[in-house]
Amino acid sequence: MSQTVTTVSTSRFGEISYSEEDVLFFPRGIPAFEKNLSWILAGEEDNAIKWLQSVDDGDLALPVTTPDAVMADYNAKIPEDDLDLVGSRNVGDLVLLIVVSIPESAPWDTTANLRAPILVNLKSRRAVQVIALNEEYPIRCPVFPEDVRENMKLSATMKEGV
Amino acid sequence: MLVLSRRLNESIQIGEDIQVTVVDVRGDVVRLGISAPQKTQIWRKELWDAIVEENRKAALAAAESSKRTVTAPQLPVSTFSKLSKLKTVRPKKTTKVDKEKTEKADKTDKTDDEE
Repeated sequence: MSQTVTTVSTSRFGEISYSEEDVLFFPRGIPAFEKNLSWILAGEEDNAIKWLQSVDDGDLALPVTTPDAVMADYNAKIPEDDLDLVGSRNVGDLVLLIVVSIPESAPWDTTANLRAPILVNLKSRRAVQVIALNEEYPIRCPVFPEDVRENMKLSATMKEGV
Repeated sequence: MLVLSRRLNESIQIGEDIQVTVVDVRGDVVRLGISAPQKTQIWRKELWDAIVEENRKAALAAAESSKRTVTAPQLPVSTFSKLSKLKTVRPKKTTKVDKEKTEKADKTDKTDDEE
């Protein structure tokens, strides 16, 4: 089997090399980025936040994590239509990612979009951002509890002071 | 955009299997009944717009932070077991400092960039 390695120049990671099988294909793109169909998941070993990096636009990346980092008993109900789109109803083939929004000047206010998880079929590597049927799931769910946020704020101001 | 006038209890048909009926009109609120196959996704437009907006915001903040040395907040690392199922591309340059160094190196000397 031949493996073509492609390199993309990104603003976050510099040059990233990836092969065809690393690519996650979003047949519908991602809402707001409908033209960007091919993405790779990039990131470092020791951080639970990974980055969906567009392979067509090196400047475009979305931070993502797994839902259980934000909500322990996360149980998104996925419309059948979307399961068909990624081509599997087998739970073992499927994984969910959650888009997180990290305000640059206030990372303690990071929120996660629990309402619209990204459904990935690990086998076919097809993916789609879905609207979960769970109406109670917020689009902007604070990631950090109040005390953690206070601590983060405090240490940020201390760093500035140094 | 196609604009149609309908009275109470009148419907429109979209394609073969979708019907939209005006169920109630009260002041400036119109209630619509929608009959469609189960797999058809129907959402209030505001919800879709909110998701588009949230993605845009997340990407914008990410683009801003990639220009500077901002450390992303840490989440519980227990999450990893799940993420490790998904093949992740690991960038060669792991830290921002490394990146800047190699960028500088790129300009002057190409040879020590490769590991």
